[in-house]
Order: sequence, then C-alpha cells, then structure tokens
Amino acid sequence: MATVITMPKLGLTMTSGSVAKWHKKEGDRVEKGEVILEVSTEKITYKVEAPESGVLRKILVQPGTKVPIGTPLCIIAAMDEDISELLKGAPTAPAAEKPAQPEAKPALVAAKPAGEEVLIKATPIAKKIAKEQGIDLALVTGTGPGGRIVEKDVLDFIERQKAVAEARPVAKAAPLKRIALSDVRQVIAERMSTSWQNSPMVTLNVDVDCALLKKLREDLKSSFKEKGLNLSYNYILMKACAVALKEQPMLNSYLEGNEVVLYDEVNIGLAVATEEALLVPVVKDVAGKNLYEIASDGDALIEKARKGELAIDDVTGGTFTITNLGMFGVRDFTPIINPPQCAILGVGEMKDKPCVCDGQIVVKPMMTLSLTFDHRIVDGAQGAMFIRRVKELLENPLLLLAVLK
Amino acid sequence: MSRRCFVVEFKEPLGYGDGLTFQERAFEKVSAGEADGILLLLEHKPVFTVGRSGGRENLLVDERVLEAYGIELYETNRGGNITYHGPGQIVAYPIFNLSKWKKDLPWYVSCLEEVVIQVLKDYNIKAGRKPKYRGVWVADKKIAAIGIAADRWITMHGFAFNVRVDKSHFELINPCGIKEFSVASLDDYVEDVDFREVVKKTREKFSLVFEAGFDEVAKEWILT
Repeated sequence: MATVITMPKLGLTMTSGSVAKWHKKEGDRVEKGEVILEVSTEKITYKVEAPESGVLRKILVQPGTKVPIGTPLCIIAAMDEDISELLKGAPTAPAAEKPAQPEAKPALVAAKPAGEEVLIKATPIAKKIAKEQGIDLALVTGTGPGGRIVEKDVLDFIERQKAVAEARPVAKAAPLKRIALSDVRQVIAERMSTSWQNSPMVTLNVDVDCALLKKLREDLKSSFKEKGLNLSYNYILMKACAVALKEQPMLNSYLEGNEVVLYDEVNIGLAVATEEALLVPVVKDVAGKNLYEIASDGDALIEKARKGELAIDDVTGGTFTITNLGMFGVRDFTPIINPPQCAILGVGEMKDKPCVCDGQIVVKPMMTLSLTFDHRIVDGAQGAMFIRRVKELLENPLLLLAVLK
Repeated sequence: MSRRCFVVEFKEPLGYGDGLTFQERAFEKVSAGEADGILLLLEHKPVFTVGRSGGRENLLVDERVLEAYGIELYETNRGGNITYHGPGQIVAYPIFNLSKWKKDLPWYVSCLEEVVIQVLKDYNIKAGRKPKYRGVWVADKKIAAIGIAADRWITMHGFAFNVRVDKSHFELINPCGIKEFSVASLDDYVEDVDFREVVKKTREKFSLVFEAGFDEVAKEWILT
C-alpha cells in the first residue's frame, strides 16, 4: 500500500511550509520512524519521519519550495508497486482537497533557524527605522508582546552594534576625508559620463613593430633639437593618424541626430596629465602640417598646459584624440571617447619583445595601440581597417611621404 | 479545562544520559495517560550535546581538552546544533501532551520562551525574542536556548536557562552555531542570584503560562 506524505500542519496559524532538506533520495529504502525530510515554517524546522516502511519512490517537492499544508511531498511504496495513479495530478494537488492520506506526524523539531522563512513581527515605526538604517530585523531582539519588535528594540540594537563596531579596533574606519571636485574635474566627470552613457564603444588592439619608427626618430631627433623641439613619438603618431583619418573620414566625424557630420580638418587632441587634471590641447590641421610644424605646435601647447596657461581655443575643436600611457608601463587599455568625437587612440609602452619573424625568434621594439570607436558611427571592420592603416604607416614610416594631404 | 500535571525538581546535577532516561520514562507515563504533563526541572553535569543537524564543527577544541575540563560530549537525536549544559543552568524538560493544550508547535515554543521572559521580568530584566533565532535574548545575548522534539503531540527536551553558569565553558563552542551573538547568564545582571529561587519562579511561570497547577512528585515516581 503506497503512502503519500503531505505537508504537515504543525500550528494553528500555519498555512504553508517549505521543504528544507531531503534526508533520503528517490529509490532509497526507508524504515518506519526514520527521518526522511525536514520541513520549515516560521523559525522552526521539523523533521518528518516515515509513517511506513518502503521505498521512497517519488519526491514531489524540491528543497526551498513553499507549499500549502496538505500538499503531497513524496510517495513511499513497495519497489514494484504501481504508483502512476498517485502521480497523476499529485504535484498540483491543492491543499483544499484534503488528501485521503493522513498528514505526516510531527517528529523531531530542530532548534536551528529555518533560514529563509522568517516571520517578522514589528511595529510600523520599527520597520521604518530598520529600513532607513539598513538593519536586518530578523536579528533584532523583540521585547514587545509575543516578541514583537518595537521602536526601542531597533534603536537599542543600533546602539549596541555601534558599540561593538567601536570596540573592534580593526573595524574602526579612519574619519572620512572629503575632497570637493575642482571645476575642471567636474567638467571631466560630466563629459566622461556623457560619453560612457551615449556611445556604444568598441576597442581594438594591434601590436606595432616599431623598429623603423624608432630609427626614424633617432635619425631626426638631433635636427629637431637644433630647433629647440622635442620629437616625441606622439607627433609621429599624430601624423600617421591624420593620414589615416584623411583616407577614412568616417572616423573623423561626429553624430548629430540621424546624421554623421564629417570634419574637414583633422585636429588631434593630445591627452596631457597635469597635477590637477587631464588636459587635452589640440593641434590643429595635423594633416596639413609637416612633422616640424606638428612638433612646434605640440611642444608649445604642452608647455602652456604644464603652466596652466591654455586658452579655450587651445583645448577645443578636436576631431580625434591620442592618449599615451606608455610612460607608465601600460601595455594596452580601453580609452573612453572624448565626446562628440568618433574615436580615440590609446598608446601603450614601447618595449623590446620576442617576436617570431620568418620562423626565427627575434627581439623587436613593440608597442600596442588601442583604438576605441563609437559603434553607432562605424563598424568593427572600418575601425580595424583604420588601425591597420595606422600600424602600416608606423611600421613603414617612409609611407608618410607618399600620402594624401 | 483542568489538567493533571506534575513537576519533579532534581536537587543534584544529572548526567545527560540519566536526564534522557527520565524524559523517556516520563514520556511513557504521559503516553499512557497517567498525566497530561510532567515537568522535569534539573541541572546537568557539564556536557556538550550535538544534535542531528551536526554541530561538531562548532566545537572549537579537541575532545582531550574537554576531558581536562571535565566536560562530556554527547550525541543526541534531538534537533539543533551544539549546546552546552552545566551547573548553574536551569534545564526544563516539559513532557507535555499538547493535545490537552493546543496542537501547535510554534505556539508551544513561544510559550517556553514566555516562561523565561516572565521569570526575567521578575528580576527587572527585559528579555525578548529574535525573529531569526530561537531562544530568549537579553539585548543581543542569548540567555536561554530552546530545542524541542514531539511525537504524537507529546513533547520532549525543552529549554536551558543560564542562571549562574561558568561562561568559560561556552568559550569552547559557538553556541547553537550562532557566531555573531554571545551568551548571557542571569548573574550578569543580578548580584547574588539564589538559584533555587529562580527554579521556584520558573515553576510558577510554567503554571501561569500553561494555565495548569503542577503537583510536586519525587523523582522515583517517574521510574515506577
């Protein structure tokens, strides 16, 4: 004779209970009086014993599931007994139907907390304070009638928690220091947030072999120095980007409503870290300038930035940005677009690395470029073509002599 | 409804195993209808009991240390985690036939808590309950632990109420597996606690809360 164990009614006010744990699994032999599962309601866990010996043929309610009292929980029957009739509709049998089988009798009651199913009796004001202060009411000692948590209980609990926190020297936090955002910082904060929220950004990384780039700089450095200029890699990068942007103007643009607006000139901003903030002075018409002119404009702007003498005109009008973190040993990163521009190029550290060349491992100065672009304006392939072109120009810098202007 | 209830006060500390024997015999008497309820009030010799839900992981020391302290380790079939019993703690084992009161275990547990809360009230101590954890709490310290069992609505086990316990023993465990709160004893709040007086008050509060008179009987009666 098959036996169905149902959710027991263990208290007058109990309307439902949860299966906390199965002590047996389907197919296990169970003896009469053996604990087969635990059910929980309010803060009490009950162990339910098998009313008859047999095999646990079917578990109908999984742990953590709350069901009304009287809901069938499992079927105990002989190994070969046909239980298909009992299975029909069993999982959905509502409590109101009063199954013919007797309820499981309450067996052993555990003293452990029932976990998720905690009924909290508290006054509205106590609940409000707890919510405001982020207090878990389940942990508060309630001294009202029947354990009801009153306002004073919550206030006392908060006081004691504070005292405990203060008594633990490690847990004691240093007084918080507050730093007001400078005007510049506020602008940066706002622009970066705007960029992050509005532009779906993609970053592509490519490794660039800098052997020839390095040679070019070595060769030209002294003649620049004679003119009082410092030929930084950034200027060569600017030139290469300007060339590539002229060829692929979609990256030298901005989005306005449903239109992409292409810039005529290529004005490249160069991110410069100063004590106070990150400044981005802009070298105008990079495509129309030679390397001397770019270095001359760039050096002047950087000097102004360091001295805090940049004029509004010096930091506006950019159509593309280069940000170089190589001096900090950064390999690659994901720059954030300087709005409303379409793209930004991140430059990593130039470093000697082992490379495979014609089946041989050779050491080469390598650098990683990270292009972040606005996917609303261009797709991955266009971005990839752009950064491939920049890579090509840097790896063969003589190409910079044979380009569109 | 008048109920036939009895109380046995043990004057000497009992081993945990002996306590169980008395409970089982009392259970038989209640099952046989010789009484509606039998209340056993006693103290245990130092013992850590581990319940079915485990608890050994909350024993913080080696069993050899327990030996040095003279504390027994006892595995029980009751629910709950690790618990300490020892001198200075009132252990109440109500063997009640709940069919004569209310077939309602949450109600019953709440009544046991109420007994302790009422006793503490007599000492001007405001105690309460925590929604998440059972037992009786004074501020965030547990003063009484509760663990019950029931079969055919007849109860076993009960509560352990710290009156003047050796708290160094509690330091060897995480009581009931609860790590964030500690334990309290009545003598933390009241100087020169008279243990027998607290036992007497506990009896009175049982009568009050469970609306029944308890006739005192000798422990030998249980064994007859």
